[in-house]
Amino acid sequence: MGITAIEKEIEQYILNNLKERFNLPAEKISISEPHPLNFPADARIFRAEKRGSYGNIYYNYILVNGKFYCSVDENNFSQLLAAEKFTSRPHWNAHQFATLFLHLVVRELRLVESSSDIAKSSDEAFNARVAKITSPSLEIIDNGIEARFWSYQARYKRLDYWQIHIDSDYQMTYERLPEPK
Amino acid sequence: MRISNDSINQAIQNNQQTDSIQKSQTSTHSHSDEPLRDVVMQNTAMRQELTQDLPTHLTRLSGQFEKSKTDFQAQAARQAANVGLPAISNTAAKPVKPSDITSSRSFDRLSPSQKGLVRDVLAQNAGNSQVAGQLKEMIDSPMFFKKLTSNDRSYALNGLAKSPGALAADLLDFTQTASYKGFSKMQKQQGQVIIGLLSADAALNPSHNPTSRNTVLALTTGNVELGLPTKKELLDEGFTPEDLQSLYGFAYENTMYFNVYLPGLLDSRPDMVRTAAHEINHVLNDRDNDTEFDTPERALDEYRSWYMENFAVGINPPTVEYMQGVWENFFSPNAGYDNIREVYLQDPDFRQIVDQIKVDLDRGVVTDPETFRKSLAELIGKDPFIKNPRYLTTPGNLDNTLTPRARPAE
Repeated sequence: MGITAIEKEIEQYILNNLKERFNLPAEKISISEPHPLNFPADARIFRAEKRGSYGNIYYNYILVNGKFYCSVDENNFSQLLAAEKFTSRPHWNAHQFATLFLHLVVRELRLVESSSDIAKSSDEAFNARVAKITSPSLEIIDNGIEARFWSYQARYKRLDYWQIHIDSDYQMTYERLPEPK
Repeated sequence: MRISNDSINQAIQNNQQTDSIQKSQTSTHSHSDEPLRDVVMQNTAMRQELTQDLPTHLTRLSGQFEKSKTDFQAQAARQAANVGLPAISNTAAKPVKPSDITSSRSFDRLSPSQKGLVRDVLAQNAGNSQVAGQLKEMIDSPMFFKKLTSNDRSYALNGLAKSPGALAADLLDFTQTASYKGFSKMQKQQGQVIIGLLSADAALNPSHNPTSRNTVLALTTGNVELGLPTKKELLDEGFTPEDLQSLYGFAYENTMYFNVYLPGLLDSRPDMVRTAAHEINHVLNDRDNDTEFDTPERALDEYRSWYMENFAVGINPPTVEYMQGVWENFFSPNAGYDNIREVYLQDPDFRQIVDQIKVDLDRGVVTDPETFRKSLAELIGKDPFIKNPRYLTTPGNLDNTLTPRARPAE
């Protein structure tokens, strides 16, 4: 159990789910509820970590309106947006949208929104890319949603620009680029 | 015990001398005896480390524990005699010419493709007696023909071919680990390329040692297992398909895993060396003394690994800029580690220590992991967020010095 006590039924759901998916016994799992910056107020995130993995192996479960979305499910993000009817009811801002994406589709990347979020490097080419970092954006367009944001992986100094398109049927396509095209 | 310490030391010394010579040729500094003294000191240290590692290696071979180092070493001699593991001849001591290899009886016993590989390596490294010496050491080792299948021999030779400078002993030792024996043909091949790469890094860069060398030894002795999971296995471990695009490796229990699906994994040797050192550091510090994920102990564990991985690429201590990045990634509002950030937010005692680290960083002072550990240890009994006090009272392993495993590999 994590720092803050988690409701028994939530804990049990996650344990049962991991048992069902991967035959992981409850004693191999620790569950906590972190509070990442920019996480939507109407959503909660639970992190189920495999004991003995030094923090490397974990599963994110996001709870919105009584429904769980797990990071191991391939279409989780599309399903979340569809369930929330997001194109007709865009109730999360660009930061929140990006933060959800960065916990369900890809993990351990920091959302960055200005060049001051990343320390200067001796690599000038890298600094030139850092200078291009902008705040995340989210647009509702005729045929869906367009989102754009930057992420940073401190471990390998990897800076990525994400361009995400969700169509009217909530099918998602995205590109992970070194910088905007 | 198959490894001859003298042989390994000689090979390392040859590399170190080459490295020193290359440095002196490009350096504008005046010549001094310092490089030579450093070589001698590092070589002595390396010999001590390798000797200290014997018990761990034997634990795997014999499946039993000994009470003391002396007992282990005595058993090492017995083991070598009993299982016919010969000491490798000290071929690296004198320059080896290509013809010494191609005219040898060992060479005649190689398959046509292996002969071609050896010829290619010799041609590509013409004049490099270290590479030739290691090739000769490998094929002359009785183990090479006695214990390895033809495929195993090809994989070991390929490991040397891909990473000139790698030590034959490392590649041969790796074939005797439980990890290697459990691998598919493809994994064996990949594993030897990785071992070759790590081995060459340690052998060619004295400033990366002892950390880089210890990291290789962890894997080649089987003290820490090497894992090369399939894509399905990675996905089952919770990694998303997109995670795999930026994941180098990770550790779980007593195994260090590499993500061979990462595009260009083998192209960045510093990142691979850092990753191996970092993850193996988790294993060595935690395998018998684990940390819960939302505790100050876990934060220390991560901090130590991020700090010490620099040693494996010759940076000691890490730069202020690097550690500022680590601090941001751990504790800032948009931290990469949700769990560590959460401890920081909720534990005021821990936060006070961590904030002091930031203050010190801002005035150019880096806090080393042992200082951090001792500060946290003072909170034992006062801070309810600490769940494993023993972790905080145990000095940390900062250079991946091998420690005996609690139970032998199966």
